[in-house]
Amino acid sequence: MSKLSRRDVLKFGAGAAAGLGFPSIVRAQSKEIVILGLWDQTGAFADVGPINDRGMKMALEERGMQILGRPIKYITRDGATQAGTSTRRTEEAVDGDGAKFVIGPWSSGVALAVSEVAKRKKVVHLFSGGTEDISGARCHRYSFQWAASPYTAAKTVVDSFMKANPKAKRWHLLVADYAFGWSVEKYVKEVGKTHGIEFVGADRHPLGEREFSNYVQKAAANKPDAVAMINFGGDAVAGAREIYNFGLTPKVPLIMTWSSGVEELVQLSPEIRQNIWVGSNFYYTADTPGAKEFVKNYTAKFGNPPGYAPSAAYSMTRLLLAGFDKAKSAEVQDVIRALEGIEVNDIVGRMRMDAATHQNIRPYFFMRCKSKDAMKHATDFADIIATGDTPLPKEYGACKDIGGF
Amino acid sequence: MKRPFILIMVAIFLLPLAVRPAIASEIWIFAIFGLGLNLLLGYTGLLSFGQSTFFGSAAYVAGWLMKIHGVNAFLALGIGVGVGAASAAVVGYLCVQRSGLYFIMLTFALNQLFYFTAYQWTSVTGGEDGMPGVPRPALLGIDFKDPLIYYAFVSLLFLFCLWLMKRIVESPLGKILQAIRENEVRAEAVGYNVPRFKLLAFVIGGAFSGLAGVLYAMLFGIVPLEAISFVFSGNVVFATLIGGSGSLYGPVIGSFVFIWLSESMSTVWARWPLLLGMAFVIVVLFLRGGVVEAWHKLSLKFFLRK
Repeated sequence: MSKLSRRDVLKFGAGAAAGLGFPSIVRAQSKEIVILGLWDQTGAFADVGPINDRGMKMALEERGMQILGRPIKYITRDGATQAGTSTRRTEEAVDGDGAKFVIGPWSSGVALAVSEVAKRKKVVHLFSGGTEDISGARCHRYSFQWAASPYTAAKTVVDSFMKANPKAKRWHLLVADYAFGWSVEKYVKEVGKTHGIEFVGADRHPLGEREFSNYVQKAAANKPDAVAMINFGGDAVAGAREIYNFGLTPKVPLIMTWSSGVEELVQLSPEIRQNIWVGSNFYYTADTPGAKEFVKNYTAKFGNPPGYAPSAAYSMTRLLLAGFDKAKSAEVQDVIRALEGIEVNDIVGRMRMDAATHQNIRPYFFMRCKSKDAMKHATDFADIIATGDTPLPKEYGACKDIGGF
Repeated sequence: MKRPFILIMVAIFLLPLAVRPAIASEIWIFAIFGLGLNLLLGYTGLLSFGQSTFFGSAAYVAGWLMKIHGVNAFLALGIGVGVGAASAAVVGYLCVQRSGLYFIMLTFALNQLFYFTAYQWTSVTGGEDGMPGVPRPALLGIDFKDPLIYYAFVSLLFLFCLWLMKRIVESPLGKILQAIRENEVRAEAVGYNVPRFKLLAFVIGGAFSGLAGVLYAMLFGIVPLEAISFVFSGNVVFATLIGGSGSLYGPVIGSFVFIWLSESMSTVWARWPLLLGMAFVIVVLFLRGGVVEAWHKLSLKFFLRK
């Protein structure tokens, strides 16, 4: 080692720079429309990224990878479920590959950071997730929220659950400690007040939590009538398992307030799913023409029905393409103007993009899991018992002025 | 002029042609971070798994001052160096009381302490969402918003850091640190106050990390939570080991390999961390001196036998 001269080391360094085969900076052809799918392949949502990608690809392939007679170039980047990595790779895709349209990522916290990039770089950004800030306190012209408002979700879940269980007045909450959890928690409590619900406890856990025993013990000690989880993906699955193992469910109903639906339920055994109530942005038995076609094609291709993640990516991509159609242009500002106020009948039903806040006004789904005997096939997890699309009341709206370009 | 200097200059000029300026800047920033770690790891023989403590703390403090109080870039960098050194002094003081495994665990545990403070203190750090909106203030009329100008600035600072680190490791202080690495008891017996020198290495390493942290925050306009996480601490150890911890230039090459691999490979293959894992296994099993040693062996085989 010590015999090695600096010269050799540096020669290597320079040689490597020239020889390692760096991708040179590729400028997109002007004819192509470059769309970036920012999907996590590593980090806390590593399992979600690949299925987001499936949904987005399906929507693009439906149109033959073309829009307005121009070819679409679909590029993806791994956001790593981290704000730093995601913003950096988005910027590089915008600067280096000429991407002017960004869809993703999956984590609310990370998406807020990406939304800042969209604003700074003046590119269209579509996102689906549980933070209210994208269409609220931190709204701007370039970002759009596809998922139902956390208020719509909370209202649908709490109202429908109380209708079925009018006596369950003592709730214990288990909340993921980041942007998404905070937003949904706030409105569950707001809506809960109108039903006279007493929140006997509310514990927050970090994103990526897998050990819930201490939270569950605390929940059990509060003797709640219902436990509501406001978390997602692996956190929700681990939480539901632990709650069952400690004997709370099926005695006490468990509400998964903002679930990915199929992807979470498939990981839980039918015993654990007993008495679980699920709110989601999409469930595959949704009775809409768009959903039937999409679910059929998706199931044929991948062997299982789509949950929230691929559906959101699919529907967001279709929304963006509908924006191109309406604008008859692929210029950023034209597409934004077209998306503002656009109305489409998509897989979740009727949707309208509110021009003032960039919040999608759309139905939210509430399901009840089936018992093992009632399941007709392996993925027949639940029945949709209610949908709701009450938009966020004006007095809660934090997006006072969406601003200019 | 000396040849290494020329070659590094060539690399600095060629790099932005090969990769985007942001990645090129990140490579030199990570190299500064690695230089700081290598003073501990390569020269003093202390494996610290807590370097992101200093990196992240400096990034948060300086980022906050730039964002809220409009502090200028020079002052921000100075403050970053100060915060890095000060946090390293506190952490280092506690860690050098122990050695071996306990030392490593302490650096790790204290890193977690800082991490969860940042995680919980959402009003300032933004918690999981990170702290966005860090500006890149102009300096002496030079607008750093142009990525190439910022790259040039980062490169200059890197050159300065490399020169400074070279001076440090070749100075009597550097020799003492190496003596501690080779035989701590003997260094003590010769009359050196070993804990104090270890602490000094910590503080210097922390100052380098702090500088890198502020440059990083300015580069991406955000201080993400991961900048203070143990994964980030691990990454720099990883990069340094791949490059070669025994050499001054090891962390520079390591940073180059690491950033290049993670940025280029991730667009090609989603499971690219497997490559890093394999590279690490190969380094640990066969090439303890990292890329630097691999190059040395290769050059012996092919060039010197003629």
